[in-house]
Amino acid sequence: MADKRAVVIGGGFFGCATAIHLAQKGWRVDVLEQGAELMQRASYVNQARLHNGYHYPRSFQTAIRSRANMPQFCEVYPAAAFTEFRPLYAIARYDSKVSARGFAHFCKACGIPLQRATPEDRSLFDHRLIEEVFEAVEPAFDARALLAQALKVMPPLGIQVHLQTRVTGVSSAPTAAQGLLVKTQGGDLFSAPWVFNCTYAALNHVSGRPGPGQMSLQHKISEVLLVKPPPELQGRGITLMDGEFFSIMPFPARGLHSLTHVRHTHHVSWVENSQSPQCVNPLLILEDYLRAHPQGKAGRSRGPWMIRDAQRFVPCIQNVLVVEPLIDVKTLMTKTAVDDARPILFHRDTAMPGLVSIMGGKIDNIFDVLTYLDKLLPVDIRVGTFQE
Amino acid sequence: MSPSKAPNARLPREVFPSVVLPLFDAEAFIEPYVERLIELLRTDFEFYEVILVNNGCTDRTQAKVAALQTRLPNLALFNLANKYSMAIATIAGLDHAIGDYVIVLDPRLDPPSLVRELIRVALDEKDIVYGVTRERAAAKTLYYRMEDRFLKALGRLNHIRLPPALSSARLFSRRALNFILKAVDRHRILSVAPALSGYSIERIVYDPEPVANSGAGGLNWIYSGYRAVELTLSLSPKPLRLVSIGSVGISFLTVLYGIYVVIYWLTHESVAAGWASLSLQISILFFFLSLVLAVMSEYMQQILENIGRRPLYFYTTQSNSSVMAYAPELNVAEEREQAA
Repeated sequence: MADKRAVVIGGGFFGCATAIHLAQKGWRVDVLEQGAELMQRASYVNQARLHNGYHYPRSFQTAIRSRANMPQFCEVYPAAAFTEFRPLYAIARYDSKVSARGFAHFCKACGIPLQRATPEDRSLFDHRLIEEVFEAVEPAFDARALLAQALKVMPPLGIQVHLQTRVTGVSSAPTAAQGLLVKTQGGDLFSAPWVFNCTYAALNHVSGRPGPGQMSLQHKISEVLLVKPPPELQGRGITLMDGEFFSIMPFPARGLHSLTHVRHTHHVSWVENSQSPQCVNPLLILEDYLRAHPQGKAGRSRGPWMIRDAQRFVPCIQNVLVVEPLIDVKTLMTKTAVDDARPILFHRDTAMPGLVSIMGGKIDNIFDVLTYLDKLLPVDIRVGTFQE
Repeated sequence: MSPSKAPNARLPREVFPSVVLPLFDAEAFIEPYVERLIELLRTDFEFYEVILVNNGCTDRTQAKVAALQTRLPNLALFNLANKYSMAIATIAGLDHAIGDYVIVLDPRLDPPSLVRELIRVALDEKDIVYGVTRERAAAKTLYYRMEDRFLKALGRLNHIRLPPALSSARLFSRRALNFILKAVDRHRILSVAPALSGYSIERIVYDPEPVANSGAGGLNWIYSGYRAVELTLSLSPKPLRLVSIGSVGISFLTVLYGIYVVIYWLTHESVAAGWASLSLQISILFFFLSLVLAVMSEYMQQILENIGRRPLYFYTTQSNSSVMAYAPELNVAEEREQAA
């Protein structure tokens, strides 16, 4: 018999989906989450956009993959897909990396629906700065509904969720048969042949090894501003393409709108790779960053910058009511920071091959992750059987 | 003049100023200047931004600003692809400014403390505030007197109230700026466009702090003359009308002259070779003709530029501050200011 035990570190959407996927195949899975609740970090602090490809006129492959994954996502998580709004894509007249004609052409080539926006929708924009406005088809997702679905599915599958459990290190067990040992801050030990590291920003830090991390990552302290939209923006989402622009769209988990701006959303960014002199857990850097301001998270907010910048293009944005800034670490693979592509990171630790790190930049990457996981596992399980 | 308010009266902290600094080869003085400016802004305001426009610097200005961005907040740097005129570099900054009030300063000349003064005046319901140096305000030299005369004449010609003097230090309210940026030839009329908007204009007098050897404050008669012509022509089409009326008059005169020549030829037995008068007339006519051509070509060039809708400028890279944590002095400075 294969040793079908696994520990998943990180109870975000990817961690939970991986755990569910394995448990459905008869695995015994423990999920370790450092927070008080599942799916509260990257799974929650984001634009809540279910990409349908519009975003990637500079990465055809990503656009096509999004186009393929989005309907599947809506099928698997029907409660989470939110479509009660009209997504508008506007093309900036200046500084945009794509022209209106180029964008229309790109959407046609990808087969994603696009049409000219209605006069009423167009009247929201300042046409001195906006070249064209299109109406798109692109849902948002409700992070709360995703959590509810996970919480419903996980217990019957026997998945053990350990909340407020911070992992301090992963090491090889004394005997190879025992696989890997996961140590937690509370002193607990979990052992399993497979450990899945789904910690996103902390990817390089679960092993607890000192020294530089094995994966080359770019971290950005990023902000999603939750606002109550003015009446004109109720039932509408606006994305300004393509460059250092903004997006304001429904955030279904709270019944509000999220405002993000490429120029102001990212407060601080740094790269973590084998050349980094000192490697500090990005989540600790975030805590320090927020604590260093007397007003904490609210004081750190770049909301005033985002609103002032965005209202130049869409004047009614000046009437948003700020509810709360959400600030967290966003992580990218360094090689994709340039072209907007968001491929999935799949990494096996060089010293402990049973430790698999998984990171997907977008929520609907999950299907690609699980497919890849299926390809990876059988071979190694056979190895495990042989050792027994 | 600035209204008489207590010099230390606190400005409302929620006002969001943007400060635009067009830069050319500023490595020698940019660091202390931006440090002073940020110190002042963070004391007075909660939200602000400083936009530095690198107008094709050939020295290490870009590297110095990039270094500043790692320790000072709210600095945005735009690196223009080429060296453009300072007016275009300023427009590049104004185009990207997001503040409620946008201030343009020449770091070679204008002290950072001017920001406080400009905003204080603007808060008194003024949309445009010009900072004029003390020397300029006195207007004792021939150059300044000529500039005064020119602006007055230009204002009369166009029936607008022009600012009393042009200067590098300026403040625009958001709505005044939106008006200016609507013009395709906004870089040409930047110095007088606010007057076209009809928004209220105010002037303050300040003492400049010129940086030595930075090329600031010098007068260039040829350039000023060129600017005067450019400004006159871009502000209104009236000169063109004058020229066309003149040309019609001249053509009428030539007809009269032709009639006179025919009558003279018919009534006189022998016609002497009037070489001198003939050359005189030809030269006068050609003088007007070339003037007409000059004015028309000037307009033509502007029209071509405008309908071509070429972007005024292009920037290669853009970067923002990425500061890990604010210096803890932030709040201390604030407390001190409140105590004062």
